[in-house]
Amino acid sequence: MRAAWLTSVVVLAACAYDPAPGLATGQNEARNFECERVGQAEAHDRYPGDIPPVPPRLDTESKVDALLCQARFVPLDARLPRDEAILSRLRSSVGGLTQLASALNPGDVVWHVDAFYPDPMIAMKISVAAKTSLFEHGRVVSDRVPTLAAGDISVISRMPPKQAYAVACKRYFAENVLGAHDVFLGLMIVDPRETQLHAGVCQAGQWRWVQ
Amino acid sequence: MAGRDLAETRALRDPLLYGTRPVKHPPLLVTALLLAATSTGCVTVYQPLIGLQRPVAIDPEVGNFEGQKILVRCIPGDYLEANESEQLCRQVRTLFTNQSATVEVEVPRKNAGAMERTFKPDLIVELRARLISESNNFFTWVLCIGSFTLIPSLFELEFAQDVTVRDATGFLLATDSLQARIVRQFGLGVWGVNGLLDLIVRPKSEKVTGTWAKDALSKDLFGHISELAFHGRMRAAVMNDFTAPPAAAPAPGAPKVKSP
Repeated sequence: MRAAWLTSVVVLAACAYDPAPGLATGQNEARNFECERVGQAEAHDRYPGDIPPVPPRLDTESKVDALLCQARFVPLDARLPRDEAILSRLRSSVGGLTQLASALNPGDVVWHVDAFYPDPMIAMKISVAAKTSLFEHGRVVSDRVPTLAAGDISVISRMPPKQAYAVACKRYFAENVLGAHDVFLGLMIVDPRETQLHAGVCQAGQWRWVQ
Repeated sequence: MAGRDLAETRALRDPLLYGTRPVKHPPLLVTALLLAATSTGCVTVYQPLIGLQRPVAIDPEVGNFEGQKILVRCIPGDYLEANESEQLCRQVRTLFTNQSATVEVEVPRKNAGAMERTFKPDLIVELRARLISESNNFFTWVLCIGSFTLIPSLFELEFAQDVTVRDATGFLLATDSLQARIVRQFGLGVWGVNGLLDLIVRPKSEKVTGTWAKDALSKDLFGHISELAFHGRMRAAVMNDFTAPPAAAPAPGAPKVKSP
């Protein structure tokens, strides 16, 4: 009888460590864990105090693994779903886009970056991430954001994306906002329902979609 | 005699008639416990892992794919049998049809010839499921039975649903791997405690018993499949320089075109 109670306590204690929704964890709380399953050796490397090492004589066929979970710093419901999706993958998505853009223009040029996103705060974060990524690739990056006259903006803002960016690029060059050695990288979402970023490059008055 | 034979034959044909046969009833408490343990003592919880836990921005109940022709391919594998793949494909077809797309489904089978397609698709959505890990601990079953199911037995599995979106030429437009963990606990203890908590303490959105696991998994999975397909659609439009612009796409963050 005592053994049964003891076992119950052990099982309940084990349940308390389980990140799945249940007795100790709520559904919303479980969503705020970022979990991945790794092998015992890797788990031991990361958390040597908590996970024991793989026994040296262990059968190679044995499969012992661990589910490693980490609570998110920012809860999932703290931001709008679109912002959350963009920001949670910002480094990888912007990194990929800047790498492509950088490969298109390998020359000795000065890069200007701006992001077009409904929320200016998020746009700023995207822009800073892109500048940092370009800088990490050894490119010369300017802090100056190219701007157009109010008349140009009022016309361009009414155009569909197919035309808007190409026309803006031509105007940059025509008004000497960008010179022969300047390249402009624009990052944007083309549809408000999207949670992926696109990018285009403007050089010598020519707009080119990167992705 | 003939009447008894007829009754037995009917009873075999219709299991509901078994109750009319004279049987010796076990004690009521044991029956109740067994019934509770076998029919309702299972609590299934779903935990979204990589990919699935991200919120979905797209609304899968509006016409996101107007004028689009989508081919959905559900590829059977070690984890998903052909008939399960077919069921998944049917559900995904409904998902995209509800979003105004014209949809065709395909479940490739071994030793089967190429399927006839009625249209050239704009998007090809490929779905593959794979098992990441599975554990069904014998020790917990022994404890469970030994304790009259007061200590729960545990069954756990993790799977990944790989989603790939391509255009008609096979060009990769979007891809992601959506992973989930399902934990099934069996036992009167765990069912009773969770049932009581659901009844008294937990708000409706936090309930664990019932069909919430299935509902939540479907909502997450189909939301993300819709989002990935939409990403594929938009990427195709951008890569083709908007030669076939999306019909319903509003102007790009018009307020933000201030700076070009």
